[in-house]
Amino acid sequence: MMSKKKESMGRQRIPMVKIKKETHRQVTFSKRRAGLFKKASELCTLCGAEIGIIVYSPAKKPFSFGHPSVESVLDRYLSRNDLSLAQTKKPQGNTAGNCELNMLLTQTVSEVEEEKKKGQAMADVRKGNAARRLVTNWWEGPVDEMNVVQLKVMKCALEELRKIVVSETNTVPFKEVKEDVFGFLDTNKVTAPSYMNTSSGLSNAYHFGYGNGCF
Amino acid sequence: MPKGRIKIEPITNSAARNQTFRKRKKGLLKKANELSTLCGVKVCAVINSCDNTEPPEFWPSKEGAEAVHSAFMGVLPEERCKRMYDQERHLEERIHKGQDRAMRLHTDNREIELREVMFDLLRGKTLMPHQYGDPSFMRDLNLFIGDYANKVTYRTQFLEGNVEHVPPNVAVTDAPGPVVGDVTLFLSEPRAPGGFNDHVHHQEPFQYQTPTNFYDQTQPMFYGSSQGTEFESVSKFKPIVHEFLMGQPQQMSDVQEPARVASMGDNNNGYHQLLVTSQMPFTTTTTAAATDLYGHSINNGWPTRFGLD
Repeated sequence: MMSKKKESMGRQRIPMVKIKKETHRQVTFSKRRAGLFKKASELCTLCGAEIGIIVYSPAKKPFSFGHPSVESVLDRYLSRNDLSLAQTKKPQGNTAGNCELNMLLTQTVSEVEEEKKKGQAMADVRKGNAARRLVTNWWEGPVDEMNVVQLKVMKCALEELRKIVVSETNTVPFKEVKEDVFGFLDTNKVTAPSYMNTSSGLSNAYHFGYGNGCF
Repeated sequence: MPKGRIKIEPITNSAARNQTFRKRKKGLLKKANELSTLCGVKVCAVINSCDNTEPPEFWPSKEGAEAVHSAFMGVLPEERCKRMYDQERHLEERIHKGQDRAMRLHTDNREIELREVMFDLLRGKTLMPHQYGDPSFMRDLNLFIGDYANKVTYRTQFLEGNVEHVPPNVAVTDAPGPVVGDVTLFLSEPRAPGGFNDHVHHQEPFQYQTPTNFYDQTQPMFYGSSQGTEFESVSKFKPIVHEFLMGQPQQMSDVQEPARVASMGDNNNGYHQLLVTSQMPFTTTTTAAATDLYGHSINNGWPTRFGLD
């Protein structure tokens, strides 16, 4: 059943009873709540339905989702008022703004898929390269396994390489790169990847000290 | 049944819309039920179609929903609103999460790519136009190499800090050839521009065997005709560094390096004369000779095989 603890178990059918383990219950709640709201959101967008949902967490905190708004829907249908109040005009949600957001979301999701595919493609290439290259050189190994002599050799090699890279960078005629770097002007790609709008970039990543011992 | 993913946008065809509405409403309520049961929590839902084709549906029941609703209204307004979502807030959250994820994946992929490029360059391969023509790629590559060099430096300092006074030159005095201290001499050996052609190994432009659209979307292929002439200058990337790395180990081979880390295996192999560097095959072949050529040079007390993860 659910007794195997060693590896990730993947998707499993679980019985429809209250989950015994509290941590498990909390995790399930988080995930399923998010999924429920996602489905509700899609139903609203696709069919223009009115929805109101209230959910309490295992920690007794109330979560709610509503379209056009939680309060308008719940008040109309659930307040113990007589039916005539339900005839009041439906409040209009910000449909235009939501449309844009939906499009942006679709775009973002596809970007994530793209990056995942790229990662996969690169992993395949590396595997192919490793197979073809029968011998691995000492300097491709973990830094932590090199002795001092090797380290110094490596250091010099890297510095030389760096000088060359820098000089090559400077000889290339500078062009107005900016967004064009990612081929935004290509007709296939209408807009820049959404994540590029955020301020952090690769250069920033280096300040965090990379390489969690992967070398 | 799955005909492929549909886009999340309003359905114009009213028949399709009603059908979708009915199906999805059913599924939504099922999910609500599961959430309630599995987590033992109170849940209620109200769903009304956009054109009032049916009366609004309540879950678990009208009364049940009203009960949950009253309890909900009993909670402090701030508590209610803290986790209250409308479409806008919900979508914005998902967008941000998606963007963060895409960014993280992008930087991870970039790291891997740069690492591969760096090692390929060290192996003596050359860059492709779409790489050296891309200033941001070059900048990132520069940073990556610098960062890697820092790791090496840090590790060196760490090791030397632990070891008793061992001046590097003293340790390798037995070696007849250039030593660590003479590194610059080795590198500054004059090389004719066309000198590389003397070597047997053939230069292959470094390229990924990935589907062409792999790079199409992220990097410009060409910046114009000026790229044609730039290509020649890339020869600088060629095996200066590669030769350097290949040449050095042989000089150190007979060093009984006291500073060696414990992970080093046997240092008992004798001095192996590496055959003329220039004949070292660029692309390793499957023949035993090639393997020996590499094998011996590396076997001098240093680990022969590193798993690149």
